Amino acid sequence: MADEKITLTQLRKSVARKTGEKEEVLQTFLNELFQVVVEGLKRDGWVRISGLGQFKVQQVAERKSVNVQTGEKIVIEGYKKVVFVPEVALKNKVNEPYQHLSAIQIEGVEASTKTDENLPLQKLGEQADEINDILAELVQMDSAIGTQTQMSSQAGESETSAEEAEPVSQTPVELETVTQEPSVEVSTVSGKYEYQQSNYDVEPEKKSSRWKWIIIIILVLLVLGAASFCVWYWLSGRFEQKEVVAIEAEVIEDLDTLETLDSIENLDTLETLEALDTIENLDTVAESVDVEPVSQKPKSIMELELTDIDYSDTLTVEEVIMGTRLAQMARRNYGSPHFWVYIYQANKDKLKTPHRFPLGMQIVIPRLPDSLVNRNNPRAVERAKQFEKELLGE
Amino acid sequence: MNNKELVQQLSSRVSLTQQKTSTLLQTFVGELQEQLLNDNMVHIQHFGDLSVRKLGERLSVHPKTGERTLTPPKLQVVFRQSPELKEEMSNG
Repeated sequence: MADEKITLTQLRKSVARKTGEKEEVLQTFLNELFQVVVEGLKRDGWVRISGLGQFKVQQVAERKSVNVQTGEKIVIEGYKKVVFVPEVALKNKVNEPYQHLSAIQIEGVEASTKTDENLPLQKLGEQADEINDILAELVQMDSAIGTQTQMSSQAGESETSAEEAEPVSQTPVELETVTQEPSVEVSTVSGKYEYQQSNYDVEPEKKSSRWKWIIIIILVLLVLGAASFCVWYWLSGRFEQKEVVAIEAEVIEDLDTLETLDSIENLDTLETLEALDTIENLDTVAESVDVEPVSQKPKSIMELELTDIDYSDTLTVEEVIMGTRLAQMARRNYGSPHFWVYIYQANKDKLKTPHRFPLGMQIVIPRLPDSLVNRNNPRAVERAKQFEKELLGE
Repeated sequence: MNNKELVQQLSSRVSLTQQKTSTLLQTFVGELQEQLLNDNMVHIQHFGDLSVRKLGERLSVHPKTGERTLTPPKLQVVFRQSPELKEEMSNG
C-alpha cells in the first residue's frame, strides 16, 4: 500500500463507507471544503484544519535568472505559495518510526578536537624534553672537551684543534667553538652558546647519521647483489662450459673415428670401433687439458641412457591410490611431470606398462642428481622428453 | 481562518448541520492521515499534494562552537501546491 497516489475519489469512497453518507453529498462536501479553504487562504492568508494542520500563504520574492538556452537574463516574478505546517500530533504520528531517535553529540570528534587543541602543547613538551636531553649531552661532552682541551692546551694550541676536530666530528660551528676555547678560558664557555648549538647542530647530525646508515645499507645490498650475480654467472657459465666441452669431445671422437677408419681402411666390427674410440678418447683426454672435467664427470645428460642412471638411492616410496599416475608423482617429487620416465625406469621390474599399475603398489621414487631432474634446466626436460618418446615408442 | 470558521462556512454551503459537517470533516481528515501514515501521497485536484518525505540522518555542525551532532532521520509531511492553486493565489 505504500507510495501510492491516492486521489480524492478514493478518499471519498472510504469516508462514505465509514459514515454511511451518500457519495454525491460527499463530493459536493469535499469540493466546497477546498473552495472554502482557498477562499480562507485568500482572505486571511492562513487556514487551520483541526487534526491536520495549518495552510499558510507565503510570498516568494522575484529573482533573477538566466535562460539556459539563450543566455538571456530574465527575472522570475514573485508569486504566492501555499505551505503546510502539520499539527504536532500529526507530525509525531508520521514520524513515529524514528521518534525514539534523538540527536547525538559525537564525542569522539569532540575528543579529537580537544586533542587537537592539546597537540601544540604536546609538541612543545616533547621539544622541551629533547632540548633537555641535548643539553645534558652537551654538558657531558663539554666536560670531556674541557679535560681534553686542558690536556691539549698543555701540549700546544696548534695540535689541539686538529685533535678535537676528529673525536667530536661535528659541524663547523662546533669546531669554531672548540678552536676558540683554547684562546679563551675553557671553563668560561657560555651556556647560551651551547644552547644555540643544541638548536642548530644536533638535528642535522642525527640526519647525517641516518643518511650514513642508509648509504651503508644500500652498499651492503649492492655488494650482496653483485655476489649473487657472480655466483649465478659462475654456475651458468660452468653449465655452458660443460656443454661446450661435451660437444667438443663428441666432435673429437668423430674425427678420431674418421681418422681410424682412414688409417685402418677396412671396416671392422662395432666393438673394435668402440674400443678404438675409447682408446682415442683416452688419448684426447691425455692430450687436451680442457676436456679433463668431462672425463671426471661421468657423462653428459644427453649421452646417458635410462639404464645407466643409478636408482639405488630412494627419495620416497609412494603407494598407488585411485587415479595415481606416474606423471603426477613426478610433478610432486621432481617438479615436472616429464620426469616420470625415471620413476618408471626405477620401478621397471614391477611395472609392465607406464600406464597401468595395481592399487596399493609401492612405487619407489629414486633420488636423482639435480642435473637430471631440474625442471628449470631445459636440457634435463628435453632429455626426459626424449626418454618419454623412447618408452612410449617401445 | 480557524477550524470553527471553516466548519461554519462549510456547513452553510453544503446545507448540513455544523455538527454533521464537523464529523464529516473529522472522518475525512482521519482518512487522509491514515493514507499519509501508509506513506501514500494524497492528491487533491486543483489544490495540491500531501505526502510524507523522509529526511535522512545527517551530521550537523554548530557553526560557533563546532559541536557536531548526529541528527536522526525524520519523516515529514510536506505539501506541494498545484499549479492551479499557485495561479489562483497569485492572481487573487
